[in-house]
Amino acid sequence: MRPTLDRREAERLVNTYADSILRLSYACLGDTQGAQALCQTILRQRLEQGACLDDPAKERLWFLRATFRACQKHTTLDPAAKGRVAWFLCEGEGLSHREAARVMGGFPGTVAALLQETDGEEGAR
Amino acid sequence: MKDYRSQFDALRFSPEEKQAMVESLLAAAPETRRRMSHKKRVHVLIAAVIAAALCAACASGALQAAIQSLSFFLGNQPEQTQVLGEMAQPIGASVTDNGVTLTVDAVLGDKNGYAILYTLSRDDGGPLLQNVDPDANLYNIHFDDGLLTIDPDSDNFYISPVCDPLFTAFRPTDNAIHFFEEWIGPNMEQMNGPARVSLQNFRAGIVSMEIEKEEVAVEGNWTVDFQMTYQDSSIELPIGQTFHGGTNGALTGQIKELRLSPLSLYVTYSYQIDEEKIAEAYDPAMTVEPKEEWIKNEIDCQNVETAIFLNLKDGTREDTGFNGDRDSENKIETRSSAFSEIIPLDTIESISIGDLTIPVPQS
Repeated sequence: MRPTLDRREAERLVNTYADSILRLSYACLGDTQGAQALCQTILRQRLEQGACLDDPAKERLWFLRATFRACQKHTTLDPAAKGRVAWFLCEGEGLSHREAARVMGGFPGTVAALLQETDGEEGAR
Repeated sequence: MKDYRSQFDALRFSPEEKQAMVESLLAAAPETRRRMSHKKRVHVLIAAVIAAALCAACASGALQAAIQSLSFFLGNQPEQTQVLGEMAQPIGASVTDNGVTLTVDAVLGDKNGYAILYTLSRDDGGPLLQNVDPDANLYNIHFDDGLLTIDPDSDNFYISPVCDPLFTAFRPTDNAIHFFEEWIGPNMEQMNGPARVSLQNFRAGIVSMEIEKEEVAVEGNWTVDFQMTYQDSSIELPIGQTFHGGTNGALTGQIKELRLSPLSLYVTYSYQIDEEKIAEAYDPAMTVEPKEEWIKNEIDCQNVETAIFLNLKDGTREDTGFNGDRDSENKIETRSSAFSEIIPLDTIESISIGDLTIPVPQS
């Protein structure tokens, strides 16, 4: 059943997902400029679509995927950005490699490789 | 890791910013109680009739139907449907749930990616959307969720979300809707093999004089296995040439890989950037940025500013866009561009990359 938008639901969506959208857009783009506008756009997209995502895990994946694709349309993601995204999805959001691949598109093995490279860079700092 | 974690943890909206977003969301929410004051009628364009110039090998009814749908997305000129007929691989795999059937109609692709055509139709021949005003406007047509997996039972499977397909023109009285999903990227040769697509719940927003703005759903879970095979129509073009691009010709590149198909273009090149040439172009009257900062920003833009075009025989030019990957450390740039419509190779005169023009061999 489609959730209706009352204040409580609006607050739930913002409180649950706004910070994740901000962090994922930072991982993709390297800055937070325009993050609030992007967040607004993604949240409105969720409302416009009215997608019935009763499962919290599915809803979270939907938000992460929509944010990633919005960032991809904005710019080409270089390997460093992809590494940050992979780290954020797996270490920050706790996704499995498979789930992260579902957000980014591609192979779970590619996500694992990105994480290995990112671990190496972090260790060297 | 610690550095990343502290960076991300520090990123959060303030309570005031979140409250502003909540208010904005509530203000933007659809008004469900207001009736439309004017009757709106959707003028729907139906896909063009297939041109007669289909090859003899493509005479099957199923493939013709798929090409008619594909032409809506990829071009309906005779030369385009000719190429579609040659490239499209009919599949026909289907699954039914809740009286509605999902069919994988056809696939086509090249080394840069693939495209898949689907149909969702109601088995009893009635409208796909039930109990909907025939004159209603439709909007936000979508699935709740969708996933394509290549080689799903292996350890090295590939996953792609099916979350943004293109839908054909669709009326409330239509029994079926066609949709199309395309995915372009490097190293897509491994996209051939067993595949599985899963889609969940089809929805459309409706508006009419008689009903308030609301949504209608076709509930179902459709999962279908099929064999993802297609013929690659790519041609490899000569490589090794040097070119210049960017600001003042500051970027010098060498072509490493270049291939072209009616669907897409793929090019890889190594590059070096001459910072002195960029510095020569600095004009304090044209920017508020200090010189060092301006040069640094310009360096980052040199690849984007190196345009890549297709020069067509009719005298027009197609811009290929900026999708791709960059390995900044090793200075390798990859551009992978999906064309908005099929471009038959025999209509392309040459490819321009910066100041370099590469003729396209004519068969």
